[in-house]
Amino acid sequence: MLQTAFNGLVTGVIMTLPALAVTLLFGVLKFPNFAVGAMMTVAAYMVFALNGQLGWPLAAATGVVAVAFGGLCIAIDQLTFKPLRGRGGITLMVASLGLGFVLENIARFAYGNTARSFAIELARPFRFLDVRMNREQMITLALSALAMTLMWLLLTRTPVGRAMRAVADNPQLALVRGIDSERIIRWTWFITGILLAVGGVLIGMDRALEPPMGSNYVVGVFAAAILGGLGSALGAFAGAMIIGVVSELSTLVMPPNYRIGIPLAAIALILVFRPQGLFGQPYIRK
Amino acid sequence: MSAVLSVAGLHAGYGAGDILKGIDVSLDEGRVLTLIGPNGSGKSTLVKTLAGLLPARQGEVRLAGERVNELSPPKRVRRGLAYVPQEYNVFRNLTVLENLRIAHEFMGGGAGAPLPQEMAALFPELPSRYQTLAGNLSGGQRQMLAFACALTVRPKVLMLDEPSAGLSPLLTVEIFRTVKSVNAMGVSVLMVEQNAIEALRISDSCVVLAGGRVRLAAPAAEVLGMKDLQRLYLGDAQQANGPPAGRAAA
Repeated sequence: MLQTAFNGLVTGVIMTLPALAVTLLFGVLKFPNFAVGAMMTVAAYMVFALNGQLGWPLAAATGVVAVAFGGLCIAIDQLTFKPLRGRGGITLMVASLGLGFVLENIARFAYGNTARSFAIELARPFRFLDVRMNREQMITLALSALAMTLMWLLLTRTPVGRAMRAVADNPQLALVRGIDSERIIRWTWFITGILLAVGGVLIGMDRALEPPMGSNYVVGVFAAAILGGLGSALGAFAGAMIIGVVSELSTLVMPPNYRIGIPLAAIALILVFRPQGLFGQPYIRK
Repeated sequence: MSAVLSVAGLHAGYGAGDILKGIDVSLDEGRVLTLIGPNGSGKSTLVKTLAGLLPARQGEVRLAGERVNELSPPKRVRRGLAYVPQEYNVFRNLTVLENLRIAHEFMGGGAGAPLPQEMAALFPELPSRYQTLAGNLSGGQRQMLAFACALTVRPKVLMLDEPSAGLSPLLTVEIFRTVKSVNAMGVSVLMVEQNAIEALRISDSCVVLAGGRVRLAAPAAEVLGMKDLQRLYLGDAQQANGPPAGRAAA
């Protein structure tokens, strides 16, 4: 049971970064970006190109791609979402679905459907309190903890982070407080890109690189973001942990194939009983 | 005295129709001008248009002589045109200190304390509540925070939309006292207010809007002295005072 809970914790941690990306983007732009899965896939393949094909160390490849993918996300926004801004969240959501299809198939076109993996040395797992942990899991925990800490510092200690929260809170007021919302939107996409790139690498380390690798996490990621409260960074973290651990523990009492039912049930229950999520604010139409 | 804010022939609105139908208003430097009028007369639409939240379809807005029609709201703010909306005028999920910091950082304050000393003297309650979420403040405290944010970088013009809305009579007096103090610091004030009599007592001039047009522009004391102020306020200005007064001047 302890082993299952630990595996669930790692799954939850993997979902934390994309859940954070979803919640951050939803907070500022008020639409659910269903392209997150495909974006993680593309970023993971970009890292694979440097690491698996050019022989770069995984850490260096991840760092370079994270920054580049942040820039690519800004370009995607300018080409895809910016022309649709002002037409409502549903339009942007549908656009994100289309974008997801396109991105996933670009990855498929470039690398085919064969599963691949990053070029990392194999290491012997070690045991702690009767729980078996491998090196990839430890890297996942450490990277996620670092990313969460940096995100917290960004959102609470920097002018850009405060401005992002301000735009998420009240976009009209943000304008008359001197905040250039387009600049903040670009920052939000850049940070989203970094989170998704690192998230894609974590998934690639945990499983394998294949075109649907990111899409497979989309339900869990959205369940985590909704459970925690869309727009709440703390909520994204808590939601991902709960969904990850509960999904894994559910395999003790039901067949693993039904594990997907846990995030779906979480979405249904939270939307019925507490639509704002655990840490979100009730939505007030302004 | 020169006009710090002048509006000429302004048309603006939502959808197909215009709400503002050729507004002319002028606010002189260092003065307080109150806009009154019945519901739907275009008062809030006017200040939103001046702030840049709604585009002007026709006409011109000048701040200290500079045409600002084409400037975005953040640029207008940095030119010195501050605006306090009627509702949702603070970031409710941010702390008091974060609200002040944002105002200071993005309205052009640069380095320095988020609440300058003279502002701390004007809003003495705020420093003790720096770590409180703005959404947890009382209505009066929220209004004070909104004022402090708008004033943290000394603007040329402060526009207030219904600053006393929803406040108790005691707090309303406090709010108007604060407006007067702000004005005494050299900030020109353009105020939309339902509480007309109290507002006019601290104003230099008054503009009455009805149906998206200026119905009367006169010194505040003169308007206060009108026996038919109630009728005037209810939008019957034209019948009560003759034809429209044309360009309003403070």
